[in-house]
Amino acid sequence: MQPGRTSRKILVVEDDPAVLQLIVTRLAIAGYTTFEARNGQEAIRRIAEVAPAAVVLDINMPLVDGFAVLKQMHRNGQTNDIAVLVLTARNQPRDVREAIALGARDYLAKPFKDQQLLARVARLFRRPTS
Amino acid sequence: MRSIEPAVALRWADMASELAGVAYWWMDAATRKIRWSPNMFKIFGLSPDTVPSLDLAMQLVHPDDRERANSNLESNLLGASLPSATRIVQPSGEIRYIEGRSACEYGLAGEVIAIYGTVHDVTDRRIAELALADSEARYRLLADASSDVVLRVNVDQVIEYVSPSIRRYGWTPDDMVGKTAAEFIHDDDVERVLGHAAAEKYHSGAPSAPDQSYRLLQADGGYAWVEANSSLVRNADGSILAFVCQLRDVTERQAATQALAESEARYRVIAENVGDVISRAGVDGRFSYLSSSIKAVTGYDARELLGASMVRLIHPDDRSRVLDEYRQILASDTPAPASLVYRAQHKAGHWITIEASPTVIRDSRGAPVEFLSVTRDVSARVQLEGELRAAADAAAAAAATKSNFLANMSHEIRTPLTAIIGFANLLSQRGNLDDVAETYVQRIGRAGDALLSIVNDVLDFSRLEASQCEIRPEPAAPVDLAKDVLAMFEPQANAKGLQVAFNTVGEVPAGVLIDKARVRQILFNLVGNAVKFTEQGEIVVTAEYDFVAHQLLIRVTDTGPGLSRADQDKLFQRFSQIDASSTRRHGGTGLGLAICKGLVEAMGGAIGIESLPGRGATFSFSIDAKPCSLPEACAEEATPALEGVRVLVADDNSNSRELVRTMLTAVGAEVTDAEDGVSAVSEAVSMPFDIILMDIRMPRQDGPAALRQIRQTVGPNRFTPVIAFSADVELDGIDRDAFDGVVGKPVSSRDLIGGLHRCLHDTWLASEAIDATG
Repeated sequence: MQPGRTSRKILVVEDDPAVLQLIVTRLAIAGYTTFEARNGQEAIRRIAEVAPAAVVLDINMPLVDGFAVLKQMHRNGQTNDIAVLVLTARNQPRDVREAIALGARDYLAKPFKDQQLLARVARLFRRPTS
Repeated sequence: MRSIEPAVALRWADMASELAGVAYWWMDAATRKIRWSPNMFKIFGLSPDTVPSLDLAMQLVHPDDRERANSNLESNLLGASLPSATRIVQPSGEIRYIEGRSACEYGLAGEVIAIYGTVHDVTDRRIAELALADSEARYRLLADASSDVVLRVNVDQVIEYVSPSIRRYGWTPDDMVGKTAAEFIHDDDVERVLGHAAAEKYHSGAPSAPDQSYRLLQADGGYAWVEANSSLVRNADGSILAFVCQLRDVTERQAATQALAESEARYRVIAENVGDVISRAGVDGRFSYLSSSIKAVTGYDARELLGASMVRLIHPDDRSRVLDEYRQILASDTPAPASLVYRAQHKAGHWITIEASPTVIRDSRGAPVEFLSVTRDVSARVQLEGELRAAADAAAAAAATKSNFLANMSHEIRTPLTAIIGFANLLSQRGNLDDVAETYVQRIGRAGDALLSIVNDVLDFSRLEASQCEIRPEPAAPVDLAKDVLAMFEPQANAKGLQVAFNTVGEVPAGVLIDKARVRQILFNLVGNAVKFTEQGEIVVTAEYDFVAHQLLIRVTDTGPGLSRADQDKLFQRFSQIDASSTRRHGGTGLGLAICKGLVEAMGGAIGIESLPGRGATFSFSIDAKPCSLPEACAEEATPALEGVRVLVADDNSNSRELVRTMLTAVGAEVTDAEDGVSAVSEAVSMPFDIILMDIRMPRQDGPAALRQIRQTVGPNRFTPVIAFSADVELDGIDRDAFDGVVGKPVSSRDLIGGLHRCLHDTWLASEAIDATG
């Protein structure tokens, strides 16, 4: 999982099908290769299958939520390096801090504008070579 | 007698009288010739050769006693014999006291032939008697002068003596002497004072009887309270001769005692008849008195608890607290707390809640003597309070639930709505739709926007209701703000044939600190309503500034239908629209004005309306708006190039931080503050930022050190660009290359935003490149 423009695979995890579809469409138009997951369990499976460069992860999901997915990713040495952008409800700094502590790279509060989503996702892929 | 010579007989008689110390005399009844025994001459202080005679004797009698002596003499002649102490004055002037006795000698026919008698010198005895009488008189004088009454009563309880002070009760001593004491004592007190038991006690040998009080009969038939202090007078053989009593008037004291007793009795009657329990308990907590209402409250009779500790009744869980409170009351001089509420066990076993109001009774030195408490059963009240609290909690919980529900619902609705609006935009942007499809897509978008604003209204309102609405003042140009909103509605107004106008009254500052978004929201509502409800005429927006109160006042005047007073009152209430038809015609949630009111109040102002039906309406609101200078970017209406960019500003100077915040929020950035390097690192490890502005010199940890720590820490900002924010002089000796850029101080808006732009260009702004290449 090396950074760079070669891998543009991105997994979008969102339990609301309409929002999922909107994000995926937006990102596809912007040139990313998108994959979908509708819940936490599916997300964990798809991460293993797809090996995405980045994940857009909704925090508020029933049963296995975004935090649980982050914890699982963190435990797995193969996946703990994947850049994750979490989607949180507005004005929930505690959720943000917890997600960051669990390894998320960035966050975006719902509802968001297309440009903000695209800018945040772009940042996930721009990782300095050190 | 005949066998003895008369002369011999006389000599013998003289000798006998000499030996007995008694003189005698003899007088011939017929001749009145007198013969004295030799010692008679001694008594009278005369020489033995003096010729005795009755006249001579009478001459020597003390003039004061002469009359009595004469009558005595007459009596003696009649044959009686009366002892009497008569003074004689000897020729030397010495006074002697004598007593005499006489008898008659009768002839054969029974006729008196002679009178004879004895004379006895009693001077020594008499002097002793007088000395005694004198001392008695002196004591008597004391007794008579005292206001106390001195009384001597013999063993038969007959009054022998009463001091004249008895007059204060209307009696004279003569009224009482010789009568029994019982006649002068109240019937109810007689037995106690003089009865068998009392007598026994005296006779038992008590040296003096204890003081006792009783009622003394007065001459007018009334009674006076006296306190008697009695002592016994005994004979040499120890038998009782009399009682001497000193009577002191205690009527007033008794009246006071009586009044006290009556008042106590009255209070007792009150205590026994009120529902509250009145109790007295020692400082050890043991009850010494409990009013009868204790039974109704605790089920116990007062008798069952007297002497018992009050602690026994207190619930174990409340015990230590209540005892602490009591100790505190004892220890401090402060009055007892208004009430002490605790649980106590009813005799039946269940627990009741009681409220006690204890007061400490202290002696003259301030030492606590006892607790006086009024205690009542407040179980019903406490239960009611509990129920009320539960009801209030339930109501609050219900309100919170409602608020949460609204927030959740809004969120749930908004999420798919975002998709609807988003897809409509995507469709529209494809550009290959036919006209009909394009119209439909626009309608979907507009309906989505309308729905979104309703949902936002509901969310806003629930936040306002829960006081969760945050007001964020920032520098803004109030005139431009109002004009912008008016301009947005201008096409809509013009389409209805309405004119719109803006003007200012007096001077309005170019820049003020207000929450721009919220003020815009209020103006949107007011101007929107004006356009919505006005069919002809004009809409005028006026801005005015109060330089004293630092408040911005904005009016929105229309020439619409106006509102009646009753309608005006309902206007700012939630979910109120003037009538149902208006809702159908004009849409909306009916929350708009209620939200405006909430927002205006949250901003320290007020909103109101002036209107007459058919004459249009003027809505006005005022908000706190301190004047401020406007950042250049704001004034220039620069493109919000930093919209959504998260900036961490680390600077120990609060003015500096405030300035940067003002400049950056004006162009849409989200700013977080840190006052030194340590806080900056702490923020940087937990929240991701897009860029960090770092002062060089800061307390605790300077900029370069904080930078190193952020770079070395695996965290969300390990690769975040960090700009040195400092005066050039401070950069000497600093590794400039460690930073991603430099913004100098003093800072200008242009330099700051330009510096951030350059730094962000490769990261943040690259999204457009990706978008374009995708």
